[in-house]
Amino acid sequence: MTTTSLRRGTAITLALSPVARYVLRRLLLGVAMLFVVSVVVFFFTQALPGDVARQVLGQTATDDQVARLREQLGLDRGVVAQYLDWIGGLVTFDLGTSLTSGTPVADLVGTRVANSATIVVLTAVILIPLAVALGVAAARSPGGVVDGVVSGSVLLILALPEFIIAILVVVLLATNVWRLFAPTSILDPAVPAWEQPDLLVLPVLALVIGSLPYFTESIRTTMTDELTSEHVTWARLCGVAERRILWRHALPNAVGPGLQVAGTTLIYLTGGIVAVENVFAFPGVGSALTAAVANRDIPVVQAIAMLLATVALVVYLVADVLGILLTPRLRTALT
Amino acid sequence: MSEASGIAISGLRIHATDDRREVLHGVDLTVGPGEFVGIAGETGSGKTTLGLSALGFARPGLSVTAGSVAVGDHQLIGAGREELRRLRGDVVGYVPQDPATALNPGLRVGAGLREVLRAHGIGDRDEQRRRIAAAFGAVGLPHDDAFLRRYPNQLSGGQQQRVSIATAFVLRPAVVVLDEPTTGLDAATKAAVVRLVHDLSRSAGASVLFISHDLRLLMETADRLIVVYRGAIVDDGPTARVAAEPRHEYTRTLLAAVPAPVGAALARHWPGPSPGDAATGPVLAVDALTARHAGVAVTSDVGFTVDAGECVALVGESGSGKTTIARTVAGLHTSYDGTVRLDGEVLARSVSRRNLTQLRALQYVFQNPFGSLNPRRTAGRSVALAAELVLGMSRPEAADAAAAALERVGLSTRHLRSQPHALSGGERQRVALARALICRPRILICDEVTSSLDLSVQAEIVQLLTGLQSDGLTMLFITHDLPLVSTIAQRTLVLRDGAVVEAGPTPDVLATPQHEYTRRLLTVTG
Amino acid sequence: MSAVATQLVRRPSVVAGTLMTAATLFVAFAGPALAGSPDEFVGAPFQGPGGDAPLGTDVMGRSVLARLLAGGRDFLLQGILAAALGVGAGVLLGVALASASRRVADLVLSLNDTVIVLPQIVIALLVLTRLGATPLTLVLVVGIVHVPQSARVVRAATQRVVTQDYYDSARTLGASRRRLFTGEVLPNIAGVVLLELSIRLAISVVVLASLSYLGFGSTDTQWGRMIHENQGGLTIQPWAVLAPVICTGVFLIGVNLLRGGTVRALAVR
Repeated sequence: MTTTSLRRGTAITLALSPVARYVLRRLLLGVAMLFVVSVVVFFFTQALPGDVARQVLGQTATDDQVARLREQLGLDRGVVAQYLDWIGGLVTFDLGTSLTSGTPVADLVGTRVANSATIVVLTAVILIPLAVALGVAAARSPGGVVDGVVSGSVLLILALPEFIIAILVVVLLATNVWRLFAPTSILDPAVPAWEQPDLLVLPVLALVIGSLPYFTESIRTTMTDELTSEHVTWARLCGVAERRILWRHALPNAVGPGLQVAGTTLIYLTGGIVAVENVFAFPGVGSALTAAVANRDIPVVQAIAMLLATVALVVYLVADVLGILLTPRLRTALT
Repeated sequence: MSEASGIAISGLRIHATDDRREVLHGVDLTVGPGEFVGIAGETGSGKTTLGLSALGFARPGLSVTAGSVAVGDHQLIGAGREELRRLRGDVVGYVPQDPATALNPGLRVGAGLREVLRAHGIGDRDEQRRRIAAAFGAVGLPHDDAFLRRYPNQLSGGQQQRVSIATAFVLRPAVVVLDEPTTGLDAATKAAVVRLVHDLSRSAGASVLFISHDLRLLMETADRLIVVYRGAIVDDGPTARVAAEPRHEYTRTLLAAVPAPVGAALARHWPGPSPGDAATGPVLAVDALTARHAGVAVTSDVGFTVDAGECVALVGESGSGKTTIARTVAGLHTSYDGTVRLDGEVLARSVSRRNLTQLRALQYVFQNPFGSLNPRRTAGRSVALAAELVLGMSRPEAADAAAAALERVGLSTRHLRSQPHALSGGERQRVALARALICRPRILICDEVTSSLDLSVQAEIVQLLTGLQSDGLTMLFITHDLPLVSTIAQRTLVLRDGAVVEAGPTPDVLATPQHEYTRRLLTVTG
Repeated sequence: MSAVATQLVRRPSVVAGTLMTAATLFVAFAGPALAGSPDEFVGAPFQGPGGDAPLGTDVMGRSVLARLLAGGRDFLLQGILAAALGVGAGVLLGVALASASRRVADLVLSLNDTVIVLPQIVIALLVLTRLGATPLTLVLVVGIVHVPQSARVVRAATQRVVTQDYYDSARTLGASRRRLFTGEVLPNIAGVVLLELSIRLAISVVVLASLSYLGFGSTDTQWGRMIHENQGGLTIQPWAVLAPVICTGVFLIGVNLLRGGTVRALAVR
C-alpha cells in the first residue's frame, strides 16, 4: 500500500459522514444520560442514609437476619464500591438476587419483560396508524366530525389517569355493561403472552385509549400547520391538486415531528403500563415494579428502573436520528 | 395561452366571513396584455386581497361575494375546483412575498418546479428537464443537477426569489401577480429582481400586477400606478400622471411621504453645525470602534462625532453594523474595542455601570414600536416611569410630566391610560419618543424608528423629528433609507460591512456620492 | 366587568370547567367535616345504596359516601402543594437560567432532560421505595419532578421578554435588577406561569391518584385506594368504584376545560 492511499484511509475514518458523526455524538450522550440516571436510581434506592437492611426486613426481623442481608447487599462497604459493584453487575447482565423470593432478578423479570413488551408493541401497532389517520383527517377538514371528536377526546380523555380509563374499560366491556372479556388478565405463565390474545384485549385497549388523544392531537397540529403553511398555499396557487399537496407537499414534512411524538408516546406507554397492568393484574414489568416497591425489593426496583430508562433513551435516539434523516432542512444542516 | 388576453376585474366585492366586514368594495380593474401595473397601498388596504383575487383565491376567512375576474375567455370567480386548479399557474402565475417560507423545505428545487409542470400535464421527464433548464436559465440560475438537487435552505435569499419567479413564469401565463416580491432583499438584489420581472414579462407578453408598499420602487418601474386605500382603488393612471397630479387626498399623502428626490434636497439650505459649540467639543464622540458579535467583528474602526444641535445619520443596509453601533453607544452592546465619549467623558461599556446623569443624557428610541413598550403598562405609566427612574421625580410629578411629554409628541391626555395594544404603530412610536424626551436628553438615538411604519405614518414621525431638531435636539439617526436622511440629517455616514465608506455633509453625499456603494443605495433600480 | 372577564364567562367550557372544579374542591375540602366516620362499619360488604349508606357499602361494609367525603382532601391538597412547589422552583430556576451563561444553561437543561427520561410515576415509585409514602415525601417527589419542565417553559418565556426592546429600554433608564424582574419580566410571564400551574396541578393529581390506587397514598382513605379496594365488587356494588372515579374525573376534566377555554378566550382577544 502506498503512503497516499494509507493517508486517505485514515482521513476517511477520522472524517466520518456528518450523519454518522451525529449518531455517534447522540449515542455518547445517551450513555452519559444513562450514567446520570444510574446515579439517581442508586442514590434513592441504596445510598440514601438510613439502615437499608432494617427498613427492608422490618422491625420484627432478628439482628442475625439483618446482618445477613447487609452482607448480601454489601452494605458494610463504601458507597462508591457498592455503586461500582452494582453497575458492574448491570453491564455484565448480572442483575442481582431478589430479596423477597431469593431468585435471580433476571429470571424473575425475564418473562414479565416479554409480556409487557407484547402489550406495548401491540398498542403501538394499533395506535400509530390510527392516530395518524385521525390526525390527518381532522386537519384536512377543520370543524368537521373527526375534528370535533378529536377535540372532545382531548378535553375528556387526556385529563384522566390511565387507571381510571382502564377501570372504565372494565366497567364497559367486562363487568357491568357488557361481559365480553375477563376483568383480569392473569396469564398462564407456561404459555407466551401472544398465545393468550383474549387476555390482552382489555389492557391494550386501555393503553390505546389513554394515549390516542395526545398522539392524534399532535399529528393534527403538525398537519394543520403544514396545510395552512405558505408553501402549501403557494402550491395551490400554482395549480397543484389537493390530493398531491397532501401526499407530496404536506405529509413528508410532518414525518419528522410525527416521529418525535411517537417517541414521546412510547415513553408515556412505559409509564402507562404501571397503572394498567395493576388494574388487570397483568404479570408485566409495571406490576412487578409496584410489588417490588411495596416489598422494598431493592435489586428488582433498580433493575426495572434501569431497564425503562434504557428503553426510553433508545427510543429517543431512534426518533431523533430518523427525524433528522427524514427532514432535509435538518439533515443538510449537519456538519 | 392566447396572444392577447390581459385581465378584467369588475365589481369585485370581498367580505370577511366572520363579521361580514367588506374588505374590497366593488373594485373594477382592467389590465391590458403586457402591461406592467404597480399596486400601492398600506398594510390592510386590501391590495394583497385584490392581487390574490386574480387567481380566483381568497385567504381563509375571506370570501368573494360579488363580481367577476376574467383572464381572456376564462372566468376565475365561480369556476369549478378542477377548472380553477388548471387555470392557476397556467394562465395566472403568482410570486409570493417571502420565498423562504413559500418554497417547500422538503422538496428539492428541481422537484418543486417539476411539481408545477406535472400539475399541468407535463409529465415527460425530458420535457420537464428542458422546461426547467429554460426557466432557470431565464432568471439567471444554474440548472445543472447539483443545483436542482439542492433544498431551498441551501440557497441565498436572492436565489430563492429567483426560483419562485421562475416557477411563476414557467408555463408562460398571461397574467403574473407579484406580492411584495422584494421585501427583505437588499438594494442590489431588489434591483436585479425588478429588472428580471420586467424582462420576463416583456418577452412573454404577460401582464404584471406588482404589489408593493414601496411607492418609490413602483414609481421607477411601473407603466401604470394604482393606489388602493381602504378596500377601493382611489387612483389609477399612467405612473407619471399619478405622480404629477394625484386625484385622491390619500395619494397626495403617500407622495408627500416619499423622500424627496436628491435634486430637491440639494435646493434646500442646511445650516452648518452651530459654531458656538465648537469650543465645548462634540456631545458624542465614537473613536476606533470595532464591535464584535460572538467574537466576530461586525464593525471595523468606526469613528464619528455628533455636535450639539446636530443630527448625524448612519446609513447602511441590514448587516452593515449600524444598529450594533447604536446599541454600543447606548450601553446595550458591550463586546467592543474603542471608546465612546459623552461630553468628553469615556462611557462605561454596560448601561448598568453608567451613572444617572449619563443615562439621562443618552436616550434611545427603538426600531419596532410594538416591542419597545411593556404590554402590561399604560402609555402614561411607561413615560412617567422614565421620569421617576432617571429624574427621580415623585409619582404625581412624573404623571404630570408624562402628560406634557405626550402632548409634545402630538398625543392627547386620552392616550395616557391606553394599553400599548390599543395604539397604532405610529402612536406607539410617539409614546416611545415621549419616553425618551421626558428625560431631556443631550442626545437622542433613533434606531430605524420609521422602518416598521406605513409610508404616510413614517412621514408624520419624520416631520415630528425635524420639528424637535429645529428646537435644538441633538440626534444620531440610524436608517437603511439613504434618501430619507435628506430631510433630517446635516451630516451622513454611509456604512458597509461595518466600515464607513463615505462621510460628509448630507447634501454632498446625496448629490455627489464618491463611493459606488452610495450610488447604488441612492437608486432603487440600479 | 373587564373585557377579559366578559370573554371568559361567555365561553361554556370556562363556565363548565369552573363549576366542575369548584364542586369537587367543595366536596373534597368541606367533606371531612360533613362526613360521618369513614372507618365505621355500617352494614354488610357491597350493599347497594340505602339506609345508613346512601351510596351503599364498600368491601369492608363501610359507608361509600362517608369515605368519598373523607377521601379527597389529602391528595388534592398534596397535588396543589406539589404543583405550587414545582412551578415556584421552576420560575426561580427558569429566570436564573435565562440570565445565566449559555454553557451553564445548556448543562443544567441537559441534566433536566436526563431526569425526564423516566415517566413521572416510575420516578415517584423509585423514591418512595426507601422514603415511604408520607405526605411530605409525596409532595416533594411529585413537585420536584415538575421543576425541569417548568424551568424550561419559564426560561423560554423569560428569554422572550429579555430580548424585547422594552426590557432594554428599562435598562437604559437605569432600572435595577429587582425592578427589571418585578416590573418587566414578571408581569409578562405571569400568563405562562399560570398556565403552567394549571397543567402541573392536573399532572400532580393524576400521579397522586395513581399512586393512591397502587397503594402508595399517604392514607388508605383516598379516592384512588377506594377504587382499588372495591374493584372486585364492581358487578354487585358498582357505586363503590364509580363514585370516586366520577369525583376524580370531574375534577381533572374541569381543570382541563377551564384551562383550554381560558387559553382560547385569551387567544381570541
